[in-house]
Amino acid sequence: MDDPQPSPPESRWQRWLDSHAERFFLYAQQLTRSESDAKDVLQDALTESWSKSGGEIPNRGLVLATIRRRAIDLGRSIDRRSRREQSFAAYTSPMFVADYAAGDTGDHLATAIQRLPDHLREVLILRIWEDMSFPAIGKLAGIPQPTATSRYRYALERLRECLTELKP
Amino acid sequence: MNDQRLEEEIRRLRPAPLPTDLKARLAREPELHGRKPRRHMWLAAAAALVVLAAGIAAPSFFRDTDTSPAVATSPVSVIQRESTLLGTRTVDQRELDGQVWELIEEQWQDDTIAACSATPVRVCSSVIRPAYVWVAAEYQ
Repeated sequence: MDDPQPSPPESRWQRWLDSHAERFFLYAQQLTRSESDAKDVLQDALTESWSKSGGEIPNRGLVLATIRRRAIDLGRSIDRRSRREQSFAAYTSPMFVADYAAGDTGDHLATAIQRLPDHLREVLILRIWEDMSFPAIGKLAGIPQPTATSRYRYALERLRECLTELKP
Repeated sequence: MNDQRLEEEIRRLRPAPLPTDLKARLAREPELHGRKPRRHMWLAAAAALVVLAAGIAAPSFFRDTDTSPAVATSPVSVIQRESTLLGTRTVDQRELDGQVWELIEEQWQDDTIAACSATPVRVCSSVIRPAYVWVAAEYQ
């Protein structure tokens, strides 16, 4: 029997990445606060999710949960103090691309979101870019739904204050 | 600025694109762990044994009754043979004259259906085998 020729790479995997990977990476960045950690976490989580689903498109909620679990595992494996010291010194990569039509507001907003406390930013990211409901966010983040709702409100309030300060 | 207007402004921000090195790391589809083959390995081995046993036993069974000149023909004929690529993974990387080459391990599943003319047996065999190929890596 002739050796079978390798088939071309599955385009479904690439299509899935093209449509979701940027938002997944945003969430991984949010959880790790380090670009290199976010890359590792995302690669591991996507590979795990894809393999477990047997090559089918994995459920988005499960992928996000896998990213979260792996980020927590990674965080536990790194000394907390060194991690905290490194995070603000090393994390300089932009998490967003501003719409130039929005003028300076987009840049201000992007900066303000990156400066939000982690627990507020996580809810904001899941709500805005993953389009998740508050019950779903609460389930993923392990918090009650009212807490998720109020964190989102606090996040909006903080952003509004930042914009007011920057654009008097 | 009210909440709705603020949300609209926020939604205009787009997540930053994937870093190119991460894109390269994710370029190849992961190998699959969740598929069926491994749990049926014992079945495949048993089926292969049946084929082998039938192949050995059949000529001796006919030896006493067949008066025609002996013609060595196998009682086992392959009806269908199919190979499926289950997954791939990179196992090594080398650089040669500026070109990066990756050694890819491919997992192939060979499914064979065979029939035995000596006994009314139809056997299915499924074997997983690795294959290794060097591929020029293409990074964006």
